[in-house]
Amino acid sequence: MTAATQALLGSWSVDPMMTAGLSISGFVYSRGWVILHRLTPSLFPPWRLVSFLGGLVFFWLSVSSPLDAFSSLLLSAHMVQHLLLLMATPALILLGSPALPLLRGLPRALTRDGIGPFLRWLPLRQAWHTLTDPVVCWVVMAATLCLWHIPTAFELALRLPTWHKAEHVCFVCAALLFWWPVVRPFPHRSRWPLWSLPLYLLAADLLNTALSAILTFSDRVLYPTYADAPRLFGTTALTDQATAGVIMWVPGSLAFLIPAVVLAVHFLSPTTSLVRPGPVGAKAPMHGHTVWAANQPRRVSPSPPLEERAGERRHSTALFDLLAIPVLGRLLRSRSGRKAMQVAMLVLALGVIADGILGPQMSPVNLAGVLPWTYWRAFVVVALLAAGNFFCMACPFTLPRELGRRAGLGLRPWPRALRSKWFAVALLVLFFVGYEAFGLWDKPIWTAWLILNYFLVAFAIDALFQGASFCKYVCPIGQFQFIASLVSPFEVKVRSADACAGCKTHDCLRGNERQRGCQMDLFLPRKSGNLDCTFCLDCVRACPQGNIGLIATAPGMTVVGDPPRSSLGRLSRRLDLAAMALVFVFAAFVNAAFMTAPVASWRDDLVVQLGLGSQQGVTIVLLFAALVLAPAAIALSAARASRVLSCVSIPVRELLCRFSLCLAPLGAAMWAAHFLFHLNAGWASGWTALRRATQDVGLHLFNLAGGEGSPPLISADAMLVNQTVVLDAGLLLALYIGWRLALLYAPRARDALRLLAPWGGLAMALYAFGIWILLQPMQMRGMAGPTF
Amino acid sequence: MKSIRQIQTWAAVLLFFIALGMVQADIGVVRLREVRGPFVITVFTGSELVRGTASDVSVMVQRRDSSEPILDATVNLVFTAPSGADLEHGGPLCGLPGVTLLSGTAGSPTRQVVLSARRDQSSNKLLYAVPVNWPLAGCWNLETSVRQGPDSAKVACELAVGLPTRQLTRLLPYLALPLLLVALFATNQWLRCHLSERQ
Repeated sequence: MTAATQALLGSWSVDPMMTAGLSISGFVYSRGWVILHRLTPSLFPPWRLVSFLGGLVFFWLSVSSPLDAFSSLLLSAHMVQHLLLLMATPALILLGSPALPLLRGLPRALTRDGIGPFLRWLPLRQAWHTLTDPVVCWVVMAATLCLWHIPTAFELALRLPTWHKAEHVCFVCAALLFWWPVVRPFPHRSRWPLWSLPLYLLAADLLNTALSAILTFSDRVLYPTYADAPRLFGTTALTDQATAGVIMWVPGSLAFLIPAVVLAVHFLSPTTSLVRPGPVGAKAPMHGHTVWAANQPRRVSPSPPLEERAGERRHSTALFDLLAIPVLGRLLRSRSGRKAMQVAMLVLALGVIADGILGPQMSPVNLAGVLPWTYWRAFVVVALLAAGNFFCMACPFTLPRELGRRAGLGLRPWPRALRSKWFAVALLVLFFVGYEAFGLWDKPIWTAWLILNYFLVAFAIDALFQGASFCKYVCPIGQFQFIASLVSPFEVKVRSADACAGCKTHDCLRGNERQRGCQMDLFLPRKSGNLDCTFCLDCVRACPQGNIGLIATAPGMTVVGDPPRSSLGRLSRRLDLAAMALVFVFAAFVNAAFMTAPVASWRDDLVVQLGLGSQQGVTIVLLFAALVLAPAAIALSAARASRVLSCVSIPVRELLCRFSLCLAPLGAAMWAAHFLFHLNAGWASGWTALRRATQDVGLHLFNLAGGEGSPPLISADAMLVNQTVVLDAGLLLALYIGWRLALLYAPRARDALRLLAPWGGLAMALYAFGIWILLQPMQMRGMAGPTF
Repeated sequence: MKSIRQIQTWAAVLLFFIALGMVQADIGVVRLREVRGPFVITVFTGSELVRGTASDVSVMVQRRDSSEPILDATVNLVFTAPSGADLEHGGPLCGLPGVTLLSGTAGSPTRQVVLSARRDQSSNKLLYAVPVNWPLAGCWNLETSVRQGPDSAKVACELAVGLPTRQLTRLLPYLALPLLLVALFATNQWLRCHLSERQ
C-alpha cells in the first residue's frame, strides 16, 4: 500500500456530536426493538435491527470516512458519498420499520405526553398523509436531485460548509420520502397497488439516467471547483466527472432496478405471499390475498395494548444507583474512600495556603491564585451538574471536626435563634462582595488566609456545637453547593419506601454502634432533594437494610413539590432559602458582569465622577445593591405581579419562596459558563504554578517545559457556543420548573401562564443579560492569557 | 422517575438533531495552484476568512511529473499582516493548541508570523494544515515554502480577511433554540388540552 493510499485511508473526520447523536438514536431504536421483539417476534425479527443500525452506520461512513475528506477534490468520491446518502442509508433505515421501535424505545411518558399529542393532531396527520403520497415523494426526490445538481447550487455547497450540510440533509430527507412508498415500513399501509411500484422506480431511474448522462458525456467541467482542484491518481477533471457520472448511472440505476424487479417478480408470482393491505374499500389484488413473508401484519395499532405488559412495567421502574456500580460504588460507600478524598483535598489546601503566604504574589504563577479560582471552582460546578455535591463529600474543612469529636467536644446544640439560613446568606453576600471589592482572585496571600481562617472557623464551630452545624448554618461554600445541587442529576435517597416503613430504629438519622447517623439532621424517608445534603453518605453506611443509594433523579424537579422536608420544613415557608437562591442566581450574573470591559470601565468612570480615591467603596455599594436590594425588589415585584395577574389567592410570600427556587438552574448555568471560560483559558496555568512552587522548595519534579501562555483548550468561538448552549439549558429548565409550579397553583393553563409570566420574564431578562455578558470582551483577571 | 427519563431523552433527541447539523470536514476553496520547481503546490483556505474566527489554511504538495502527493515535505507558511498594521501581543494568530510558531516574538510588534503546517492537523491526511485565527482584517500576504530533501519552492498569494459579522448573528441558531423548544412545548400543552376536551 502506498503512502498516499495510507494517508487517504487515514483521512477520517469524526464529529463527536454527530457520532453521539447517531449512537443515541441507535440505542433508542435497539431498546424499542428488544421490547417489541419480545412481544411480537414475527413483526420485528433481527434483520430489522440489523437493517436500521446498518443505515446509521452507512450514514456515519458517508460523512466521516475519507469519502467526505475527498469530496472537495474528487467528484467521483463526492458521488459515492451521495449514493450512500440517497440509496443505502434511507432504504436500510426504513427497512428497520423505525417508527414503532423509536417510539417504544423512548420513555413511555415522553411518547404518550410529549410526542403523542402531535401524532394525534389531525392537521399534522393530514399533512403527513399528503407528504407520503407516492406522487409527492417522487416529485420531492426529483426536485431535490435536479436542483442540487445545478452548478450554482452544487458550487455553493462545495464552497460553504453550511450549504453543504443543508444539501446532505435535503438528500437524506428526500430519499427517506422517496423510499417510503417502496419499503412501506410497518405499520404504514400502501395507498398504491403493488404493481405500480416498479413503474415508480423506473421513472426515478429514467431521471437518474438523464442526470448521469449529462455528467458522463459533458465535454466541459460542470463544477469549477473540480477544475481548480489538484489532480489525484492521474485523473483529469473531465475524466473524474465522467467517472462520477458512471457511478451515478450504474450503481444508481441498480438501486432502482433491483427493487423494481423484485417487486415485479413478487407481484407476478402465484406462490409467494405479499401483504399490501390497501386503503379501506380498495379491491383485493388480482392474484388473491397475499401476505408478505409473514412479516407484514394486518393492521396493528402502536398504542397502549402492546404496552400493558408486566415485563415493561418492571423494565421502566428500575432506578439507576451510582452506589450499585461495581468499583465506584464501593469506593464511595466506604469510609476510607471518603477519607482519602478529604485527605487529598487537605493536602491541596495546605499547599495552596503555604504557596499563597510564602510564594510570589503573582496570581498566575501562585498555587493560591490558580488552583482555587481557575480549577476548583470549575470542577465543583461540573461535578454538581454532572453528578452531585461531591465537593462536600471530599470537603477538607470537616476533617477538623473529627479532631474536636475525639477530644470530647461538640456537645452544645446550635443556638435556636441562628437555626436558619439567614446567617449563611449574609456570609455568602459578604464573600461575593469581598471577592470583587478586594480582588481576591489576584491576591494569593489573601486567598491563603481566607482558606486558613475557614479551617479555623469550621473547627471552632464544629468543635463547640453538635452535628454539622458549620455545614448546615454557616459555610458559604456549602450553601452555594446546596442551591446548585437542586439541579444535580443524583440524590441521596431511599431505594424503597416500603423498606423504611417497617424501620423503628431510624439508623439513618440516629446512627448505631458502628456508624453515626446524618449530622445534618436529615431523616431519609422524609428527605426530598439535595438541600442540606453534603453527600457524606453516613446514612448509607448506617442503614442496616442497605436501602439508601445515590439515585438518579430529575434535575430541579424536587422544587416542584412542597412536602414537609426533613429538617427543612416546607419550602413555601422558607424565605431564607428563597433569599439564598436569589443571591446564588444574581451573583452568577453580577460576578461575570464585573469581568467585562464595559462594566469595569463604567465603574471606573463612576469612581472618577464621585471623586473617590479607590474603587472599593463604589464596588461594595454596587454589589450590595445588586446582590441584596435588587433581587429582593425584583422578586417581590414578580411575586406581587403574578398574584395580581393570575388572581390566585396565594400569599405573596409563598409565591416568592417557591418561584425564587425555580431560577436556580439559570444561575447554575451562568456559573458553569463563567467558570468553564476561566478553565478553558487558563487550563495550563496550574502546571506553571506547580512547577514553580516545587522548584522553589528544591524539588525538580516537573522539569518539562510548557504551560506558559498555552492557547485555550478550545477556540473562543466554540467556547461561546458552548456557553450559550449551557445558558439555553438553564433557561429552559428554569421555565419548565416554573411552569410545573404554576400548574400546581392554577390548574387552568391560562391562569398558570399569567402566574408564571413575571418569573418567566425575569428569567428571560437574566438570560439576555447573560448573553450580553458572554459577548463582551473579558478581562483575563489574574490569569496568564493565551499567547503565541 | 418519568421526569428523569423524559428530560434525559429530550436532551438525547435534541442532541441528535444538533448532531445532524454538524457534519463537516470541508477543506475550503483553492486560493492558489502553481507549479514551482519539482512541485505542484495548491493552497486552500475556508471560503470566508473573517477576523477573529479560526479557519484552516491547507496545502497540498504534489510531484510535478506524476501528480503524486508528497507526504514528507516540510511546509512553512509566512503570514504578513496588512500594511500599516502590527501583530501585537494581544492578537494571537494561532489561537488553537498544537500549532508550532517558528518566528514572530510575542510581545514585540511584528508584521510577519511563520507557522509550520502539518498533516496531523488536517482531517485530509494528504494535506498540510494549520489552524489560523485572523487577528486583523485586510489583505494578508501568504507565502508558502515547501522543502523536500534538496528541493524547495515558494509560492505567494493574497488573502482577504473581512470584518466579522456580529457575534450575535453567529449565535442566532443557539439563541433561537429556546424559543423553538418553548413553542413546541406550548403547542404540546395546547394539543393535550384540546384533545382531552374533545374526549
